[in-house]
Amino acid sequence: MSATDANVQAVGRERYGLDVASAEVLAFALHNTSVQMHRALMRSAFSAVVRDVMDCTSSINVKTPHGWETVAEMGPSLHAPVSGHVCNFVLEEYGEENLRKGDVLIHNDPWRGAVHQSDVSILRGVFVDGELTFVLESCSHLVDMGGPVAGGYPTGARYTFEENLRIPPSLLYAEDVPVRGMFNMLLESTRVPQLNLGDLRALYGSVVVGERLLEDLCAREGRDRVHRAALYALDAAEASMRAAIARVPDGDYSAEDVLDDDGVNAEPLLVKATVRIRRDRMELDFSGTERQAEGNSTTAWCDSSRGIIPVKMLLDPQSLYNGGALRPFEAVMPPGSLVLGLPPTSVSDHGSIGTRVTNVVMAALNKALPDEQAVACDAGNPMFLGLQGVDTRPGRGHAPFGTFVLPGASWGATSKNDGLGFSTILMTGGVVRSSVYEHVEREAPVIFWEHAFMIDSAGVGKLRGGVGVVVTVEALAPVEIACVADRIRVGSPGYGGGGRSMPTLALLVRKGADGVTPAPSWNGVTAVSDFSPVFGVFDEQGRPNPYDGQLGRGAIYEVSKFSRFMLEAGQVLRICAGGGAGWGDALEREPVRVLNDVLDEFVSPEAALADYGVVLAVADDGAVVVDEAATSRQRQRLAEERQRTGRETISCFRPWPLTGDDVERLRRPLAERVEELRARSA
Amino acid sequence: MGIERLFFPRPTERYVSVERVPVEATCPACGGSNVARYPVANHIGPRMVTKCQDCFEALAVDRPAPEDNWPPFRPAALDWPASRAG
Repeated sequence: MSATDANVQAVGRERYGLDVASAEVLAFALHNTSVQMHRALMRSAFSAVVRDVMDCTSSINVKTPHGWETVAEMGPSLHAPVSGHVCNFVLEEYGEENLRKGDVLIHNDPWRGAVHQSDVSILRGVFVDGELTFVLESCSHLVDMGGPVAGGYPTGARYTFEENLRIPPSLLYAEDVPVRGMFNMLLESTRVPQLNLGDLRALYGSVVVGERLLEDLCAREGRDRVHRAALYALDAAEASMRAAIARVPDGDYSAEDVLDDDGVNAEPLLVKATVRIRRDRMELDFSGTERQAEGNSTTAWCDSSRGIIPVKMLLDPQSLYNGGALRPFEAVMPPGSLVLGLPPTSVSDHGSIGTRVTNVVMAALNKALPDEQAVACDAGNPMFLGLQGVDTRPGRGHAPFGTFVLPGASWGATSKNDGLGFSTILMTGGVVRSSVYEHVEREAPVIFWEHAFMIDSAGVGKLRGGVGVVVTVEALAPVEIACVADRIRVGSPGYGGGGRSMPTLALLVRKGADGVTPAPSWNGVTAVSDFSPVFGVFDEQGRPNPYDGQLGRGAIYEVSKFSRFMLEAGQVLRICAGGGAGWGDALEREPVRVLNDVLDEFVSPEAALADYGVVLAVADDGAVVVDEAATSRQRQRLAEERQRTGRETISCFRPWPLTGDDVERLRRPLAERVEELRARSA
Repeated sequence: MGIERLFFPRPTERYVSVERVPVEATCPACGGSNVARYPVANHIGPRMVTKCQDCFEALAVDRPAPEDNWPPFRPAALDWPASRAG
C-alpha cells in the first residue's frame, strides 16, 4: 500500500470508523436502494408521464449535523437537488417527533420546496433500532391534479387559486393505513382518478421497497456503520465539488437571458444570474432578475437549488450526485422575482423558468472557464403540450382524459462534439424522456403522424447544436390543448461565435390531396399554402423567417404559452422545435462534417452554402462531395460579409417553400438539388 | 402569527435584487472588513448568512428570525400544536 493509500485509510477510519472500501460499498448500497425504489416506482406507475417519460424521482435522506440531506437519489436532475429542501421543509413543519413507523406524508407545495403542484412527493420515515434514521422521498408528476387545465400547466393563470390542488405536508398513510379523506380528496379532484390512484400506490410502493432494503442493510451491517457510510458519501461529494470549484478563478461572472413571455403579456422577461466564486465556494445570485410574471412562468423556491445542475455538469460531471454536492453553494434569491415568486402568484410553469435558469447559470459559468470547457446553450424548453377533453372514441365511455406530449429537445454543442439531438434538455439531465406516442394515442383521441428531425434547426458552429424535432399530431375527437413553449422569438444563443438555433414554431396543417393524411413536410418544412400559423416568427409571405419576420404575424398567438386551444377532430398540429445552439465559428467546421449533415438531412445544402460556407458538388460517380476550392472562396466571402454586417446566424431552412410543388422539388435526389444550387449560385 | 405571510403583492419595481446589509466585523479568514448579512438558500433550506464578501467565509449561518421575513411565505398553522394527523 502506498503512503497516500495508507493516509486515505487512516483518515477514513479516524473520521468514519470505516475502511474506505467498506464506506464505498455501503454508500453504493444506498445508491442502489434509490435505484430500486425508482424502478419500482416506474414499473408500478399508471400514467405515461411517469411510466414512459420518467418524470419521477426517488431519494434517500439522512440526518447530518446540518439537517436532512439527500445521500442517494435516482431520477431527473430537475428533482435531485430539490429533494433535500423538500425533506427539511416538510419535517420542520410536520415535526419529526410526530412521525410513526408506517406514516407516509404527501406534499406538493412550491412554497415549501416542491417543483410545482403537479410534482407530488411522498415521504416515509425509516426507523432503525427505534430511531428515525432515513427519510425516503419519492416524487412523481401526477398527470392531473385538478384545476382548469389538465396536466398542471394552466398557461394564462395569474394566481395559484387557478391552478391545481395545492397540498401542504399532510398524512396520506397512518401507520400504513390509507387516510381515506386525503385519498378521496385526491381522487375526486382529478379528471383521471384511475391514473392517480395507480400512481399514488406506486409512490407508496417505492418507499416501502426502500424501507425494506434499508432495514435489511442495517440488519446486516449495523445502523451506525450505514449512517457513517452515508456521511462519508456526502462528504466525498462535497469534497469533489469543492475541488472542482477551487479550480475556477475567483470572480463574479454574470449573464442574462430572457423568457419569451409569460402567457399573459407578450413581452420578454429577463433572467439574470451572477456566479460568484471565492476559493471553493460559490454563490448563485439572481439579483437583477425581472419581478415575478403575471402569468404562471415563475417558480416559488425550487430554483434555489436547481442552479447547481449546469455547475455540476460543467465542473464535476464524473462523481455521483448527492446532497453533499450542494454544500459549497448558496443561492441568493430576490423575493418577488421570477425565481422566488410570492404567493398567491401562479407558479405552475416551472419548465420555462427552470430551463432558463440553467441556461443563464451555464452562460455565466462559461465566462469563467476556458473555451474548451464551455458548453453552448441547449434548446431550453422548446415546447410541450397538455391534452385534455372527453374521449368520444367507441368503447371509451366518454371518459375524461388528460395526458402530455413531450417532443424532447436538444443540447448545445461543446468544444469536442455536436450537441445531442432528439433528447431532453439540460435541466432534466436527459432522464425525463420524450413521450411514447403509442401510449399517448391509447390515452387520448389523437394520432401522431410523425416525430422526426427538423432540418436546419440546430445552431450552426464549428460544432453544431443538437438537431431539433418536428411532431405532427391529429385530433380524432375535440382535444383541448395547453401549450408551454419558449424560444419562439429567437433561438438559443451560441457560444464563441456559434449560431442561434431555429426559433420554435407551431402550425395548423391542412390535409393533403387524399383528404386523410396531413399535407406532407420535408424534414419538418411545410409549404406556406398548407398551413396556418399558430405561433412563431413569419414574414410578409407567411414564411418562417427569423431575420425578416415578425413575431405572431398572421398567427393565432403572439405568446408561446396558452391553454384552452381547441383542436377539433380532423385538425392537425405540427410542432417545429428548435435545437441546441452552436459552439465556435461555423466557417471553421470541417467541410466533411457539413457534408455528412447534408447527407443525413440535418442540414440543407442551402444552409451548408449560406451558413457554413460549404459548397457541394456532384462527382463523376454521382456522389455528392465537397468542392474544396469553392468552399474556401465562399468562406472568405461570408467572413467579409459578417465583418461588414455583424449579423448573428439564426438557423432556419430558407428559402422556405410557398407551395406544395416547392416541397415536392425538395424531395428530388440530393445530387439534382446540389447541381441546381450550384447553377443558381454561380 | 397567523395569515400575515400568506399573500403578497407583486413588486412594483421591474427588476428585483437582494440587499446585502453591511455588518461591522472582521473576517477571521482573510482579515477583511467587507462583511454583509443577507438571506440565502443553502443546502438545507432558508438561512441568514453573515459572510465576508471577499472570501465568502461565513461568520454566522442562522435560521431566519421572524423579522427577517425569509422566506416570505409562512404557513399559518406552523406553530400550532400537532394533532395525530399533523
